Amino acid sequence: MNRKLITIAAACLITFFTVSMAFALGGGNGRKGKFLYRKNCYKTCHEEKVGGLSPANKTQAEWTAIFSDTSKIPCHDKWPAVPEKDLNDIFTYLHDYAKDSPSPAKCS
Amino acid sequence: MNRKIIGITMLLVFALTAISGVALAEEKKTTPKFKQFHSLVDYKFVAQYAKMPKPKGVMIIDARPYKPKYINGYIPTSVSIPASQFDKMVGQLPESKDTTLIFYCGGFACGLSHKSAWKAEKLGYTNVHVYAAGFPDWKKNAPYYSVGLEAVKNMMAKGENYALVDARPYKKYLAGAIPSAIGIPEKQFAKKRGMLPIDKAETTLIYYCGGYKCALSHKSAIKARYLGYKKVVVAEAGYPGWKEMYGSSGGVEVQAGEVEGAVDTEWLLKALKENPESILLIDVRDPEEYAAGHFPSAINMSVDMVEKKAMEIATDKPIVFNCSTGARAGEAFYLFKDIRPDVKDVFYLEATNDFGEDNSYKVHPNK
Repeated sequence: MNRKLITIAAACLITFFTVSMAFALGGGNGRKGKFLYRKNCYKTCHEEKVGGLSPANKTQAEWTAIFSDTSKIPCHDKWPAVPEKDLNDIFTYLHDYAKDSPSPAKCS
Repeated sequence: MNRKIIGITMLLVFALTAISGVALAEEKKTTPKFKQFHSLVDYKFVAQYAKMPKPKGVMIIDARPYKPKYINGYIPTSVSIPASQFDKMVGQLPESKDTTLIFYCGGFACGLSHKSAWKAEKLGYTNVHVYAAGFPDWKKNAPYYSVGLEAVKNMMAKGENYALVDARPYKKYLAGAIPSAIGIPEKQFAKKRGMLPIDKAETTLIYYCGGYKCALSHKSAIKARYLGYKKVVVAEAGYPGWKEMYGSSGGVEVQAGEVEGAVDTEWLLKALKENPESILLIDVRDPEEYAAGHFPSAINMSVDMVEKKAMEIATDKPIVFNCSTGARAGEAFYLFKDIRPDVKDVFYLEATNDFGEDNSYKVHPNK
């Protein structure tokens, strides 16, 4: 009985945090996010690829899914400690210039 | 005969009385109401010390209030220790009690210099003098006097009839100067004197150079007087003082926009039209994009170049980054701030810009 309760409570908490995290994403400073992406992600993980990873490589939903659990991002281990606010700025940049956004990232 | 003698005697007595009356009145008018200091010196005495390079073992002290008296005109090389602040500022007096101290203020009727001189003597200074004729006498006799940078800024704001001259070597002038200054290095004074204003009677020439230890502005000021300029002053604090007081931006106050780091678009457009040289506009697009059209005063430096050369970018003017949509400009702004957090006047243009091949431009602020 106790085990069941603990499992349910843990599941609730995980769901709550995931949902709240997803809801907290967005509304950040996309301009700053572009710089932070360059500083923390692009230079450490994506630069080697031709053209690098651009926001327009994924849809807004894909970026939201990726950022709902940042620990699963392949490059996560290489990241320096990025504060949550900065992470949200990065997400805002990637999301706002995603493939299906009103202005997908080109080079400007 | 007797009548004649009596008449003449009476006239003489009357004349004598009248003369002595006037003299008494004069005396009453000029007798100071303060305890005069025992050692008074004249213009000649002060002039031998009020020059650059500053002679050692001497300090000339202005005992008048700092504002508005000192900043609007003081004897070259003198320091401001207002009599009212003497006790608080006593630490500014030289350590050596043998130093020659010369106090002055607003002329014979002014007691501030005497008051400070007595105090200095009481502190143990053995070589204290008062230039009783003070600043009015200096202005009358000397080729030039010095002013504070606050006075220069006031003249600028009021649009007064002045010409600001940077007497430092031209390279230094180009690296950063007080707004509206022309560069006439002291060494090239004769060669470049044609750059000075035609009006020698009414235009105030304000010379400055590299700060209190720099003699170039003083030398140029004397030369300008020889040329016939009547109103010549030196802003001794020079460009280092200006940077400290009003920032390396040269006094240009940038109006910030609504978004973090953004410049107000209207303000920028006005500045580009009226005084484009007052800001350093950096177009961070790629060279091909820049070549196809750009703001006429903008220089080109891609975001990658900004990252590489951030430490070399001059900061004597406000910096504004621009691109075509604001995205790269914003990136360059945060990148530059990350590398050089000490630089305050940095902005970016949050707008979508259309450039013509003839460098015409249309700016649409982003909403």
